[in-house]
Amino acid sequence: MLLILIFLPLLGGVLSWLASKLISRRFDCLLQLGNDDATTETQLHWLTKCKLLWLHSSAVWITGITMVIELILIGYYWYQCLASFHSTHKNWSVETNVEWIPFLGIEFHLLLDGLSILFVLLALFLASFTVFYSYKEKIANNGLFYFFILWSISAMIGLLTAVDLFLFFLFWEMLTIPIYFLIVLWGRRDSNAQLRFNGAIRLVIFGQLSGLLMLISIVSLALINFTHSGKWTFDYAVLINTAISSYVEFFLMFGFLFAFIVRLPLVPFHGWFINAHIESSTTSSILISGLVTNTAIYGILRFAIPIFPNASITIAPIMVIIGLCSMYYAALLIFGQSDIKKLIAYVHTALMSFLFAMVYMGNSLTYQGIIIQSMGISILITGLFTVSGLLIARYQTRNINKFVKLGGVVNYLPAFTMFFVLTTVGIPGTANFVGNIMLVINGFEQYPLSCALLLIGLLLASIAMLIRMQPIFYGLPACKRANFSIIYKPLSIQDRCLLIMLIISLLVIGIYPQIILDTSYPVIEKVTDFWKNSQVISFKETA
Amino acid sequence: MMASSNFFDLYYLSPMLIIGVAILILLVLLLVFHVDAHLCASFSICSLFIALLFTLLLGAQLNRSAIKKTALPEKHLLLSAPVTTEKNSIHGNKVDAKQIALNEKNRLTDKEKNQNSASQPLITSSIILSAINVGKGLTSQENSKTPFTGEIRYKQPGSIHKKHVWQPTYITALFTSDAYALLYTGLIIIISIVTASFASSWFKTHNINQGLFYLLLLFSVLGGIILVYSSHLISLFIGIELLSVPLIGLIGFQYTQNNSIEATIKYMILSAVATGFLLLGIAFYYAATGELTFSGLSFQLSTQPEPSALLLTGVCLMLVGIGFKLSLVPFQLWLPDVFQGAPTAVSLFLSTVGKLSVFCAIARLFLLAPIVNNDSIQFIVAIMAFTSILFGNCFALMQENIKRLVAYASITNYGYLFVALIAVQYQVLALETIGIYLISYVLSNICVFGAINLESSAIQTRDRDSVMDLRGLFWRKPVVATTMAMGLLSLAGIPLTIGFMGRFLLLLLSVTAQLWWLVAAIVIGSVFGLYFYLRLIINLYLRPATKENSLKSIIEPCQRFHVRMLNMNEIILVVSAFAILLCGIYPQLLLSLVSSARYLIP
Repeated sequence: MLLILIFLPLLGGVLSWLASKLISRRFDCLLQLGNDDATTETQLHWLTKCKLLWLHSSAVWITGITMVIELILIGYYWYQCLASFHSTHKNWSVETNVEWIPFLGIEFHLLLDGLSILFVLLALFLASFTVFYSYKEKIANNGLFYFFILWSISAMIGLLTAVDLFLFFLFWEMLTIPIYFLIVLWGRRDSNAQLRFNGAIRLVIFGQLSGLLMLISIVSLALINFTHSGKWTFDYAVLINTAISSYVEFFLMFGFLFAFIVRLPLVPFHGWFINAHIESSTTSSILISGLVTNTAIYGILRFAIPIFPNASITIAPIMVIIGLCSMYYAALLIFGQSDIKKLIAYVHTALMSFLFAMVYMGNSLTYQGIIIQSMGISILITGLFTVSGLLIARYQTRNINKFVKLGGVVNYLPAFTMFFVLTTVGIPGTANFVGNIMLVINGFEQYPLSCALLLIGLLLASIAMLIRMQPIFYGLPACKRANFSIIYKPLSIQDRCLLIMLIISLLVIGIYPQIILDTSYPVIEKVTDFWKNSQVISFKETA
Repeated sequence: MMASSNFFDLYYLSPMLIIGVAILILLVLLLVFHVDAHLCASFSICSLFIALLFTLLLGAQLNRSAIKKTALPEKHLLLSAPVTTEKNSIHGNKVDAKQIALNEKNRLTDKEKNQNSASQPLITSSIILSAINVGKGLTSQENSKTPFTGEIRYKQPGSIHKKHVWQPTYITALFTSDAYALLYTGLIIIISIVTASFASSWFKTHNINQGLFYLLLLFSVLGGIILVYSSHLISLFIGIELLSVPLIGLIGFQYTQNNSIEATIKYMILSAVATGFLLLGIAFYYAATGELTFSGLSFQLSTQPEPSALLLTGVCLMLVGIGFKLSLVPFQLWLPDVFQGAPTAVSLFLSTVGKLSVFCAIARLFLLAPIVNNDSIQFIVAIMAFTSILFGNCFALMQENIKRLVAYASITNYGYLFVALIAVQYQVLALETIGIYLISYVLSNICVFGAINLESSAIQTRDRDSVMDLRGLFWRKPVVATTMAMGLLSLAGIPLTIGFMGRFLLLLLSVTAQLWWLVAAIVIGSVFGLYFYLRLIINLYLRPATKENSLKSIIEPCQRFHVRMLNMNEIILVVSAFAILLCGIYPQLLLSLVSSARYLIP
């Protein structure tokens, strides 16, 4: 069943690609016949129109159906999971294990449990959102476009369910490739291919570099296990019990952690993130923010802490400081941004740094909070990117200073945007509020100073964002522009629905977070056990 | 350990002999009957197919004997005995052979844990998988082109000489016939078929002289096969010479093209210099040890407490010669120019067969005669590998000419392979890594060069090999562009391609051998590589700048997709792209094939 969950999107993608190819070929034939028979101009015109319509809708429909099936599947699993929580059998999970490369003991081992199901849900939700959003954009060659989107979803689900470390790495690498193509081929429209390539290649290179370091760690871990047991295996459940000396544990953890930090991204390594956002269209921005960065949080919770608990707890203070610095840096940079996408990217960096610092202050309640918070952040950033996409479509520019006042002329859009901006601070009722409360209550108890600093940083980021965003809607007076009607075009029903969908989901999580807490509780409990049982490695004795 | 001169021994050398005979016949055809180029091409492809067939047969027989030997003492292996009775279906054999390979591999690892000296029959095993796996690429060709479809079934292994036990042996002191040699012989022959096919489409006009091209090609193939078979420094030397001297002719074959003469001269002179070094190295070697066979060398080296300075000098001189042939830093400068000047098919041949066979021979030498155990030699080899990886990547970064780019990539890839060679001594994994990496390299090179080859022809003054020439290839020839992209992705080591498996195994191996500097080089190298490969791929998909999407460009000539529309070369490309994907998604097939191709250890 899990295999279906992973490979269905890929299959759907191939289908949509093939369908669009076939349709375009068939219509080309018809058109050519029409040319030969000297049919009337109107008929030809009609045929061309038909072709475009068919091309457009076939790919979208196939993709849409795939997504709906995926959502139904995951919904069914979620229902099972929730049902099991109230029964006696608490540790709900679905497992698939297929032998893959027995030569090295690599298995196609997938596990869907409380932690991964939440991230899969989030990923699928955001991905379907992306698909719906992209419907209105008239995309050239859209069969291939949806193929890449579905490919990334496939890789994402695989990444979130893989418990074989080799498999995890495979999906980790697989995720960036389609996004690279999405950025280069369907990226920002007002820049040329070379610029888009420069932006996109950074994403891949940073991903590859950090990924290979992680691979070295994985291989070393497997090698250590091999020297102990004489058997190659990459299975998470086996490797987690590998006995490692403390020095080696540090080195191995850095491999993993580096990959996660780069992907989060924390500040020294955020270059790819910003550049990729600048060069990408709204859809790929949502994919990068919604899918790619979440894998890092998931990876820390699933791999970095449970496999290397001692090293993690030893390194925790440093990590909190790194998170803090990264957050303040990003928050301060928000003040100076005039490119709207860059601005949102920095907001996201700041929020992720906040989350990262919180991970290393953690206990069980914190981890629950982190899951809710990361869902909240993903949804709200998606909302902001959607808004930015709508704004860019209106003004044909990304420069905030060129934007004119929309408030009072265009309905809904300013209000929705304000909601998202305020969600960043965590106004009560939203998911972020719940997340923040859960994070801060615990953190403050143990580390009051750093927690206070983190909160101030969060506030700083929101203030900066407010200062930058507010003029768009309420500040500057309307100036005379030639394309007046485009800028003041009312918000279409589809866009309204999309934004309302995001807001509702934020509110639902905020008002009734219990379902999410129930789902993730058993797994989080295990992670916390690792954290509790670990001890700080002291280097004085060994050194 | 000399084998008695037996009639059957000739059968062990059948691929070599068949090609030798083919060369003679081709000579007669050319000199006496003045046949035209097309016939020459068909004839050489056919003879290569026959050689391939015999390679497969021989591999299957070796495999069979290995199974029999191992099956008798072990009970659980008897379960897989039905393979001997199952003669009529390849598919049946495939599954069983895989099973056997697995069983045997498990046994092998068990054995090696217990005792280091693996006994002889255990070392060889199934190559039948190669028949099926690599041969998958050929089934379509066999069906359409050549009359050998039924041949495999007709001459089922074991049906010819039932009495004789086929097992890996030495054929005189010069050659070893084992699964390792057969695997790479198969690979070499397949590449040669591809090369011949590419070349015949590349020569657009037919000319009487073009028959010579195939003659030279066959000579070169013969040299390559001798190399992978060789277990003696003299056969190694003869192989290298026989491989590279005809290559001079091949490189300058279309001398009307730009850069062609330059490339030929460069290759000729440097090749001669390299040969000189190699020969001198062999002489030093002989002076130091008094031995020329690989196994004798190994004996000498193991008995000597400290290798003498003479021996070390000899090894270094040989490394110079080999470095030239494999174009490793600091002997790499000729390669890009030669690639650019040579016909595309020859570039393909040079980068795959020309280097692969030398590499295989060296790998065999290094395994049998543990020269790399010496610290200074290991240091030198490691430096060569390290700098090759970095140099190739740095220079490929800004390269606008795809052939030159692939040349630099080739420098890098042989740097990677040298890492495996350093670890060849003490790791079981090394052979698997080398095998997988070589096969992935070959497949992706076929894809990349094939696309360039289809774009260009001998009539033009230069091949269409710059980045601008291939811009927007996807909109003109989607199939070719997709396969080329697949080859580039595999070279870049993207997951789900076989290149990824190769890169992964390489990292695994070098981490296992704790060669941390080389690990760093591999990581940096793959990051660099990603940059220029992905740049090329994107270039294939960009719309050409001149073509605006007016209504006219949307309506292209109506082409119903039909299998018959694909020509032979496109089929080869598609098949190798599929093989890249297949082996990337399910690498176990290839792994068990490669791990069965072991050395014959004396």
